[in-house]
Amino acid sequence: MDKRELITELRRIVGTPYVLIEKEDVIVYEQDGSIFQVMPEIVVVPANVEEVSAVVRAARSASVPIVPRGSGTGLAGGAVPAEGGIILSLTRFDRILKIDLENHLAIVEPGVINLDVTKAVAKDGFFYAPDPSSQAACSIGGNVANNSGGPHTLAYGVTTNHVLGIEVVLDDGEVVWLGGEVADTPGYDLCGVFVGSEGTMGIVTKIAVKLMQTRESVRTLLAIFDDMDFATNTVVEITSEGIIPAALEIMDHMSIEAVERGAPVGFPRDAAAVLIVEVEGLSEQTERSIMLASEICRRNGAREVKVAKNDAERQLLWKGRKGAFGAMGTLAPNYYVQDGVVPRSQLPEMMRRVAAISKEFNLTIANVFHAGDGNLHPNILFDMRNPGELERVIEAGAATLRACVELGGSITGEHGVGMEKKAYIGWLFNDADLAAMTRVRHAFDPDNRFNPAKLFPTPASCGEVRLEPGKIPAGLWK
Amino acid sequence: MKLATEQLGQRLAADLGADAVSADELRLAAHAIDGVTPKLICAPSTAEQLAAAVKICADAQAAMAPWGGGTAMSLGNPPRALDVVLKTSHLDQVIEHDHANLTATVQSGITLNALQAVLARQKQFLPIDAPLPERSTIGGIVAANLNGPRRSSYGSVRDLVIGMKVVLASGEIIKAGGKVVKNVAGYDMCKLFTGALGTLGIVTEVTLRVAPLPAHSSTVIVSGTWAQAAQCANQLMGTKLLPSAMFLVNPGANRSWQLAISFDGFEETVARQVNELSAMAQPLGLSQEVIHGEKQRQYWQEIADLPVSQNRVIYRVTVPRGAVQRTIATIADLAPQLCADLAMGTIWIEMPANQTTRDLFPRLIAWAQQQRGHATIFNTPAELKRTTDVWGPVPPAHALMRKIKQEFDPAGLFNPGRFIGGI
Ligand SMILES: Cc1cc2nc3c(=O)[nH]c(=O)nc-3n(C[C@H](O)[C@H](O)[C@H](O)COP(=O)(O)OP(=O)(O)OC[C@H]3O[C@@H](n4cnc5c(N)ncnc54)[C@H](O)[C@@H]3O)c2cc1C
Repeated sequence: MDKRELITELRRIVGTPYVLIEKEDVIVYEQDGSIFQVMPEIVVVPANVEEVSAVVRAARSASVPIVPRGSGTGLAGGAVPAEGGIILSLTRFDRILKIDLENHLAIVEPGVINLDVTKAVAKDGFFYAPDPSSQAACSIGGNVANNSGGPHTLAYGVTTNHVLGIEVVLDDGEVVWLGGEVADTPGYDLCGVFVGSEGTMGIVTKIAVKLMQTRESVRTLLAIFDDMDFATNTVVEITSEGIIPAALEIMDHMSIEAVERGAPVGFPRDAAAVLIVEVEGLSEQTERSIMLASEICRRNGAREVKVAKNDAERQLLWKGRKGAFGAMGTLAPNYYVQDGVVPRSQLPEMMRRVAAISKEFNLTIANVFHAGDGNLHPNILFDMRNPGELERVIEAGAATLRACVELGGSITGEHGVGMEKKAYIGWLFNDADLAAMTRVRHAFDPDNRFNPAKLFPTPASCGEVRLEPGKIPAGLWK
Repeated sequence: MKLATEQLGQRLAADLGADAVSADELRLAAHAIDGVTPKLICAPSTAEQLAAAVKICADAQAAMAPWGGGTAMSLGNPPRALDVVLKTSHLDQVIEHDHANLTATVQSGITLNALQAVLARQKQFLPIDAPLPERSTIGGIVAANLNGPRRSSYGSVRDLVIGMKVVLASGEIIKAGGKVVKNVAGYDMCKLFTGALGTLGIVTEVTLRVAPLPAHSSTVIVSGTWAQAAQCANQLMGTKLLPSAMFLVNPGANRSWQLAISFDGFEETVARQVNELSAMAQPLGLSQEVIHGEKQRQYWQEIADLPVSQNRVIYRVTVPRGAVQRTIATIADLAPQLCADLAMGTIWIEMPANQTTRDLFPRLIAWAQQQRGHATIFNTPAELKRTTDVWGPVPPAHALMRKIKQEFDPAGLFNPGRFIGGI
């Protein structure tokens, strides 16, 4: 099947309006939240699983790749068509199919927006726990593919801990459930293996997610520090003292500045770092935990500890935290966010290294991160127009990841490998480790049809890749 | 097997030392799996030795069964072949306990109790209440996916394992995951080996999330009729209380039903929850007992041990949590001994090992499927396995599972036949 025949076949499957081939139509799909751009050839937007299955079969006959795409907020180039072919957009899969509160589960289509799941059940006292900062825009399918986390995954776990089963379309068009609606489906935990596979194993068309009951009480505090070391030491002490908060988030001086310039929430602009500690549970438990956490903050040199007095104050803190990425634009024309992880015990050392890297590369780095998980997000600020700066930025980003690996950590905590970090994955895994992953890939997708040239350390892709940072409209994820 | 047993034994002894290999008849008999006796037992002292042993066995096309504490060897179907039992008992070290990171890295042959003793020094523990912790090993717990009563609040084995080292059939040692609690670098290979019953590789090292030991813990056991206990459970589930375990238990022999609820946490949180539950139970006419300490530990350990009870048939029926009570009601006529995890939807049914009991399986499978769940025989004397696949009907993804097995163990040498659908 040549390209023309393929297009005809795709139009037959999904209907002409849902096959995009003109440059002005496909250009919006050339990038995700990362810096990578590749102009797509064909974008299809199927409406149901039968159509997805037929599209996959057509791609197979035509021997072209398929790149699944959710909301395109991914930060590692996962949804960019590195090797051309078909972008399969799941935006029409936007229905919550079943809400089953008695059984604490919901079945949703992959295009459903993360926050909409919680919105649909909040009035009944339930929520969907994984809450990426992009939750107002990103899709559950994208979350599954990237095994996304968020501020509250410290206590509740990341996406994989909340997915019971998925319906997927395999490389031959077959539709199969992995896992189910209850725990322990007999056989290999293929659902667990699929989650986090970044679109390289198949297309997710349904997801059974766990719903959790909202807690009786939530308490949140903001601790203000004049030294980043004090803040990171506080985090280490809080977890090692046996308090497991629902969230432990740090923002450094530059991030505070960004938020206060953009949509101010009243963070102190002269502070070196602020730490948000949130605890959830029964009222006695949160009362005591917040007291203990306050003590630990003070003991570690917090200049001030403010406990949110009501929900409005609490929401304001979170508005500042969740808006931080979007506010980076107030500091510099461009920013590049990294996503390393270190054991929590290494957090103080790691933040010292980030500061050193910032000096070494002469680049400003704003840090806003999931400190309780040891998951860093250095935002490297720069100006694309300065020649050679982007290359230096990428090098500095890599240096932060290198430091994470040296301290026993990982190159990505939640954003995924995608195109961005495939050259770095060898820092963590040797050839035999990677070959084992390839075996799994091969069992699912022997022809590398799904999202080729991602995740594995393959040579540069053949598509024309351009680097173009910071094109996501600010405000998308407020 | 391509080689004579004696030759294989010599090769293993030459590489690992004579002490590491045994063909002693009594020992062999003690390591039979479902009545199938191995020809050799090999107990390597290091992960590298284990890898070397796998390579030697694989070259000889010898069927291997990894063996931890041997507590769950009756899980699965009888092996199609069994030449060498590979024991992890000498791999019993804690490699690192990073208490500030709340993680521990251990060799797979360490027993759960031995690990708990080390973690306790830093007031931490591994929140997996697996059966027979004095014998069961971390590797076995992970491979067999053995969970315990507090699973719904602390997480399942699959949630707590964050890193591994595994010997593949090629004799290579690979690493999966790492030691950080959040990690999406590459595929989540730990999920593949967790619960795979040693059919894809032999786990030599595991990194786990651990938890702070709760400051306080109490269990309330309320007893009464089925209706009373069920009603109390429903009321409890309608509250914001946060039990660490929530079980309905029928001790059998026409004794009364028990609703056992444990609470972990600060003294005042535990006290409040105990009081609120008591206040719920009283008007329903249930009798109550609050237990702590050793008595509490023993009570829950008995529940945790039930899945591996010997000479009994143990069914595991898993249904959505809302269907647990309906499910129990449908088998009430048989009055089995049972315990049900109300939060997970897992019902453990214990019955005498006889034909009538086994005939129940199709009924349980059909019922569980109607509820969108599943039923397996978790444990049964070998005789009863001959005509039944203990895993129940093959799941829809079975073809894919076979492909995975083919990729990792093409010659079918790791625990052949014991896993689902003949894998
Ligand atoms: C401002 C901002 C803040 C963010 N904060 C966080 C955060 O706190 N935590 C976090 O983890 N991430 C965060 N992210 C990253 C991103 O939002 C997540 O990775 C998210 O899960 C991506 O979802 P998406 O729908 O946009 O997926 P896309 O970007 O469209 O795709 C992501 C990957 O998933 C694959 N994919 C999508 N749908 C499917 C499907 N149905 N089947 C198979 N594969 C599929 C794609 O091929 C691609 O590889 C943030 C991003 C931004 C821009």
